[in-house]
Amino acid sequence: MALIIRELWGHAALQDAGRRGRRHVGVPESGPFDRVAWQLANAVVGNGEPLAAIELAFGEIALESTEHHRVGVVGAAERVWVDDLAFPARTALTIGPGSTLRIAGPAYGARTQIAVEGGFRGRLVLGSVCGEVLARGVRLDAQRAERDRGPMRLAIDDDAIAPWRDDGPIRVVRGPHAAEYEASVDDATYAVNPVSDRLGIRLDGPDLGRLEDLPSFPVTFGSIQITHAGTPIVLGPDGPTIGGYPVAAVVITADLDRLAHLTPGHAVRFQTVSQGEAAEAYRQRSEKLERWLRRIALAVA
Amino acid sequence: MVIENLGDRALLLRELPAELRPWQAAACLRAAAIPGAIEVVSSFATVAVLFEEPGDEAERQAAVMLAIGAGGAASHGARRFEVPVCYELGEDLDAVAGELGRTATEVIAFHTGTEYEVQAIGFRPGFPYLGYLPPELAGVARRPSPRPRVPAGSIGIARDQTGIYPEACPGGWALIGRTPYSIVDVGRAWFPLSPGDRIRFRSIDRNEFERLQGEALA
Repeated sequence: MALIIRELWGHAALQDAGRRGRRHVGVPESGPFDRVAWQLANAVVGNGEPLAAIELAFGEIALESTEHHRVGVVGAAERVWVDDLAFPARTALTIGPGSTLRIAGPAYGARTQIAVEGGFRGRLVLGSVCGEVLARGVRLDAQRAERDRGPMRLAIDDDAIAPWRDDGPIRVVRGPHAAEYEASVDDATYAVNPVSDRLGIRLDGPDLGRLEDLPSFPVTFGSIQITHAGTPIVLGPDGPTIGGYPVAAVVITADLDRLAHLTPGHAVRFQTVSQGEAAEAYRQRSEKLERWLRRIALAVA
Repeated sequence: MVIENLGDRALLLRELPAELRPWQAAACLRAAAIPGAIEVVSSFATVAVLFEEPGDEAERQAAVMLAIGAGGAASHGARRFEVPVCYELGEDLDAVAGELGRTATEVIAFHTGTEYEVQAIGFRPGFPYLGYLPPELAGVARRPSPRPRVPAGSIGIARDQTGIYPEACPGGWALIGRTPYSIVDVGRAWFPLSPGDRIRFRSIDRNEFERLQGEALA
């Protein structure tokens, strides 16, 4: 009972809920870059709690099934193929023994979450499989689908919970060192530098100025550091726990998932909002997501 | 004390009360079990409280003030460790001595002659930033570009700090020695060092290095 990776371009790794509460020993949470897509992908295969899934970045993967498996694909990818049959992505499908599921590179956005009923099993490090890198030939054990069901398509029409689609400015709150810069990150349009990954997304743009390095202080996923070149790095889910670059702004929690879909060259704008607006955006997004998860759970049951 | 927002679900504390080291402030904040807080991280002169979700800013700031004011709970048991170091294995020992206008023997004497505080853990899982170096050893710059691979147990110095690389990884500090001890086991969730702990280095020769190789810090 397994899915075997027959082909892989790009980067794929397992991600589960992550390693919480270990930043004080230098270990970041990790976990899916786009948690919304990960929760939805798990929900469509009937996992009550979101479990370990494959996070595919910028690529293409082909998974051969040895059994009946129920697989959910949510994120940037637009289409999936089961052998020669194409389906729109953001869907749950049952694939049978000997069949191959193929997920193509996205037209837009960067990352896709591939969940399986019962979750993928991997090697636990600090209680999590996060970051287990996958390669061609790897056999991923998974539970057999209990019954054969047809495809179930997710027709999400709301950008607030479709982080792969939302193209508006990324909302931030002022960081601890915002006042020390004459300009703000709101003032420019940045381009995503190709040297970007789950540790951080480097942005090219105008020089905001250079402040002295500080004694390292705690930083978070979403913290926007300003490097010596005066350009920003937005820290990702695998980013450092402390750092010495000034932090000019921090991406609001409601927009963190969108960072997963910034592709090299992509134009990025920021918009500073208040703490109150950030909390409200989070509340609204959580409500919508919960509503969707409930609807999906009812449909799957 | 200044409390600032670090995003919409973390508070950053700086200019801590003089009587509180950051790790002591962190102990107060952990003891207070502030509702919604998931973790407290301390660094050189700062502490952050991380929350599960965005929430009421004023309420959280008040809870933090209260926890710091309560102070007394800061009885985090700082421990003392002795770490053996084979300085012969430090690739940059001679270069560092040259840069500081000292002999290698003097560098070793100064490095082992000071007790250091673990000021922060970060950069890599379990990497302890130790401070401060005696003035005689301070001021060595980081390498212009990091070495692609620094061996596990390497003892580095940079500016006024020294540190121990828990596992092989890229690194930019000048390497003056290597400890045979293991100071982290990520697979077993073993992170013996905490901010506030104190470390003293002891010079050993190659034979002792071989004999102690792989022993756990205790």
